[in-house]
Amino acid sequence: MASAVGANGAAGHAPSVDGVWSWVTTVDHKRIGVLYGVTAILFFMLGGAEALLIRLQLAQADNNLISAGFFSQLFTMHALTMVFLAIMPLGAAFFNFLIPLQIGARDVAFPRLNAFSYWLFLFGGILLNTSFIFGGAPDAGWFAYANLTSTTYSPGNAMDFFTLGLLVLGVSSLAAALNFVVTILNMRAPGMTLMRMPVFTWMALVVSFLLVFALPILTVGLVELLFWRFFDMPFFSAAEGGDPLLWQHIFWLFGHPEVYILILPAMGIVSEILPTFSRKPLFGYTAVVFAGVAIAFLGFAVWAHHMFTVGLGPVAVAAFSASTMIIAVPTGIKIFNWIATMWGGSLDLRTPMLFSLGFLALFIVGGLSGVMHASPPVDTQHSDTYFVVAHLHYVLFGGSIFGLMAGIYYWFPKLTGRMLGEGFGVFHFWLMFIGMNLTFGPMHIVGILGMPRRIYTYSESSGWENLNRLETLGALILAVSIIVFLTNVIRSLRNGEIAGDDPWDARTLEWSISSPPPVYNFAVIPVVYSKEPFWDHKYPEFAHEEPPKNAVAPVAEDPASIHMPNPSYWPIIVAFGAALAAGLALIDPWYAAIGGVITLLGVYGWVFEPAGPEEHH
Amino acid sequence: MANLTNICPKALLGLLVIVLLPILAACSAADNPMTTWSPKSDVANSIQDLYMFIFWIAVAVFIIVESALLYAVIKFRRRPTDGMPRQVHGNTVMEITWTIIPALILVAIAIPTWMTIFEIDDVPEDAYMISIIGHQWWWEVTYPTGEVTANEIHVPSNRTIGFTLETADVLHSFWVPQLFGKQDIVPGRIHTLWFTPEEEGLFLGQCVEFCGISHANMRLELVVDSPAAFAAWTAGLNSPAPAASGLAAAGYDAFANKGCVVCHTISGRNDAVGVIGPNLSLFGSRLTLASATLPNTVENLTAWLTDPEDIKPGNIMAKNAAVYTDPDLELTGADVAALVAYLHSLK
Amino acid sequence: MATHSTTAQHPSHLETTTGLDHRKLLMWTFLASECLFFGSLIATFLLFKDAAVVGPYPHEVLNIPVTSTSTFVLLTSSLSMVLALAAIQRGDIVSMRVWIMATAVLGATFLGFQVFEFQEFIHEGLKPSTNVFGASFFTLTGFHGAHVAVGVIWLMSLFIYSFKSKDRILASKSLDVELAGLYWHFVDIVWVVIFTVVYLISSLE
Repeated sequence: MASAVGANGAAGHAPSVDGVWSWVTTVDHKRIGVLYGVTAILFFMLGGAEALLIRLQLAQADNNLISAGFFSQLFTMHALTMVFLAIMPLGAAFFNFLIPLQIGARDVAFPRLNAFSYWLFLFGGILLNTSFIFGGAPDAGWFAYANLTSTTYSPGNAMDFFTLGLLVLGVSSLAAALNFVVTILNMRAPGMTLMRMPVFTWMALVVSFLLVFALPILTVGLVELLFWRFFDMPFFSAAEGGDPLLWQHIFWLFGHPEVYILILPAMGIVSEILPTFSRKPLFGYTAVVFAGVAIAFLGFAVWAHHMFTVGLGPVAVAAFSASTMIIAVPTGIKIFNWIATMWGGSLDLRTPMLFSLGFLALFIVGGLSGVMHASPPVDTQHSDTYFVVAHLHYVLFGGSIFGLMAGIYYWFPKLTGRMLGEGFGVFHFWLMFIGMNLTFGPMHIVGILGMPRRIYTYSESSGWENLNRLETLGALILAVSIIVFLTNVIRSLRNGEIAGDDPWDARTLEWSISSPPPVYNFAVIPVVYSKEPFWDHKYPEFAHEEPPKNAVAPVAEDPASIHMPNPSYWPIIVAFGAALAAGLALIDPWYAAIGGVITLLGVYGWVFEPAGPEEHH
Repeated sequence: MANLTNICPKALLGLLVIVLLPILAACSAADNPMTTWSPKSDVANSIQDLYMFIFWIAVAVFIIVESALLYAVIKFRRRPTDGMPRQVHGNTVMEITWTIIPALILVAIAIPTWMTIFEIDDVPEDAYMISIIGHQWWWEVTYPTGEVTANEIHVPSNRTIGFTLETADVLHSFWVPQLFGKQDIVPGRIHTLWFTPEEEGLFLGQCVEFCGISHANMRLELVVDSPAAFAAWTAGLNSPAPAASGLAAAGYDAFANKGCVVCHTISGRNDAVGVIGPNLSLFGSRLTLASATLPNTVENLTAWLTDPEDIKPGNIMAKNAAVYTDPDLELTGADVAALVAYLHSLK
Repeated sequence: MATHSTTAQHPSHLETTTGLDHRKLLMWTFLASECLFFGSLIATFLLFKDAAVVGPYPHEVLNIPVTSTSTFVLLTSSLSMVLALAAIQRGDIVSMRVWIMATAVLGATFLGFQVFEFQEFIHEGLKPSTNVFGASFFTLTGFHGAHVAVGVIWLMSLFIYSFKSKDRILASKSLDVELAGLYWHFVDIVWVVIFTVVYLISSLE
């Protein structure tokens, strides 16, 4: 019987791996994943700092720690940072690092486009944040409803930083999404049909399609907002025949798929960890995959549930209420399948599993409060209050962040060759779990008590102060938990226990190669016969599917002859040109041409870049 | 290795916090005037009844699912004697079951939801329609009989009340939690909302769509009066104020000399017909000032007139009125005292 | 059978799971994204075409005869694009150059018509900022024109490139031309939709 999974061969030739320049020009998906991950965590801390300031201001009634104007910037930038600069890039980090490893490929389909996506993300995030020093950050909320965003009511260029920054970030995400679609569809190991892919890779495919279809809608909205502000084109001006609600429709047509973009990677991660730490396969693989696809489709049909109170009329409201309730069904299917995966298993409760369990417990809460909002009459009491803030943080923090943390603890050994400290990990988990519930749990109550969102202060007679104090305490505990996490990372990088190839006795292909993987990932591209090729290779007696009698042997390759794509400086140049164009447009739209020229020249340099040593048949 | 004995009590504590506290809190409107759990109108009661139905279903689902999770973690945690668990891949019957049951629960929630949507939507024909216009950052109120006021809305207790809602500038949202759910106000549109009060009293509300720097300060009070009290109040809005004497008379003059008349209207004064700012008729009888952010005391009104920007950052008066923008025209302490006396005499 | 193509970074022995070259799959997925982009712009136009509060109004400025001509020009350019690809697939690089240049010239002619039309509108008092019809019209057709311009530059680059390295564009490497063709035809199809929605529909009113 041919071995479905090969062993590592001798190291292939690789470009110089030391020094800043090697990182600037890298096209290696594993390094790009690290760049995304580190940058995202830094931005996460920035967004967390913004949240802490918000919580300190709100800890006391009639407080004047933070001015009203700066408070508006804080809650706007906190959300923008967390959504676009932390959670999405953390997802991208995992996609980058893992997808080729899980599908048995050596890199993504377009390594330079991959690098370009990262650099454009970095520059876009910097551009957005320079607004703080150039007259003030965007301050109309992360969803920037018109017509508060007009030049009349938002003079100055804070909202221009918003549109241009998000346009840049959108291009970055779109480029990455296109890359992952092609990679997943086109570069799977022989025998790996779509229904044999790891669930994480499936969720990555779904998220990538969501980005492909949702980002252009946002782009159009941002362009219209930009043109309104720069050129007086009255898209959202009611007096001139425009419609402020058009912005809301466009924004939420993007915005709702966006929340699935934010949660599905974490769901994919948990779908990998639960089977490994239960020593059982994922229960209902087909159902979990189809539920993810269904959520993505339905996600485009629910957007106006963010607009239940704007006056759409009872028929539209009832229709969107129905579609929103329907989407709870595939979500529930996933949750039940995850619990069934654990059921009858042998549960290893180390840190990756703790975070996965935390994800489950907290996401259930967030999902249930979401069902409450799905009822429009009830939503007229909840919308725009802290009850919604509670809901969104349970799904985004309790869901996405806990899932991503689980993934970090799970795959850190594969990335670095060392384990993250288990003691610190458990401490990190409990601090984060307690902090998270203490911060966001009371928000359900204070929202029921009528506390609106986005207020910089409230009076003592409101009765909200004690709960706000509790929430601020929770936020401080969360901050400490992050410090514990970072300490764990730094200590483990230096002295962590050596991991070996397969520290968790896992099930998918990435665990069949060394930790860290060689630059070419697989010495021999494996041939795949099941959903869990590595597990079946280790425990053929427990394998679900037998390899066929006429199993094809993997193509033997000499690792020394494996050529990986050359490093390139064109991606960072093109990214720089694009971001520069956006930044200069803030001064005057014509100056954008300077960045445009750099971009154009960079594109030519990229396209005509000489190939590596030619292959000969 | 995780200390399993820690998981049990801590998780239970977490469950308690999440589930019980909402029930324990939230009902006392005296301590929490903006609470949504103390409905005092037909519409608010319909919403709350629907919510309670959904809420208890959600609590039940929460308990069942989280218990299953907790049970699994405890029962199936790894023991040294564990062999390889049975490699179960799925079960079609279970998939169908846990697809259909949640779907049925959602249908059960959807039906009363839709009924309530349509029940609340149409404004009854006999409603007493009051016009509301939202401004940055105050509420303009006009009665069907022509009286104009701001921020403090009186309504009679013996009939259904309706509102037409518009905005003069940006998006706002009109909300008095104990009486009705919120309605956003979109520029270029006229929205409606209605309710029938159950009892007399004072109810607090607030703008709930971010509308700029002083969004947090755009509050309102809705007073449900007996029909007699309501009639007296509306009559008072239209009548000229009693003749001012002493300090109040000086304030009467200052109100004109210092330019207040440019933006504000006061009944009975032909010189005060400005419509840029709130109508100040009957100001002395108001419970609060600066859109319901402060009690209407001498001290607060003095602070407001001395430095409105401090109380309501970004407010139009502080930005545009000459007495605040031109140092030469600044109000003196005496000016302020006179104006306070005058405004409080408007009863 | 999988087709094999070589580009700067793709060794020719690469077999893909779908059988499609990576770049072709990328282009199709990108075009799917562009459908949503233009779809949103068209939706905005449909919302605002009759919502202008002040004139000029659509029926006052839209010139069907002239735009029909430019539409014909653009459609013809798709024909020349098809002929360019057919030429390179049979190894006839000279014909390929002729047809690529023809496509670029027709595309540039279309752009010339657009510029003329935009100037006429502005002359008649319809600027992008005048009313919501102008705003949505100029945005939609402007972005389409920008896409055509990118296409013209791309085609010209292919044209020049075909001289530089004789063996770069060969029959076995016709993918380069095919990708440009996919993009070009897409932009053309979008124009058909725009022409219908913007010009023909308003002429019915």
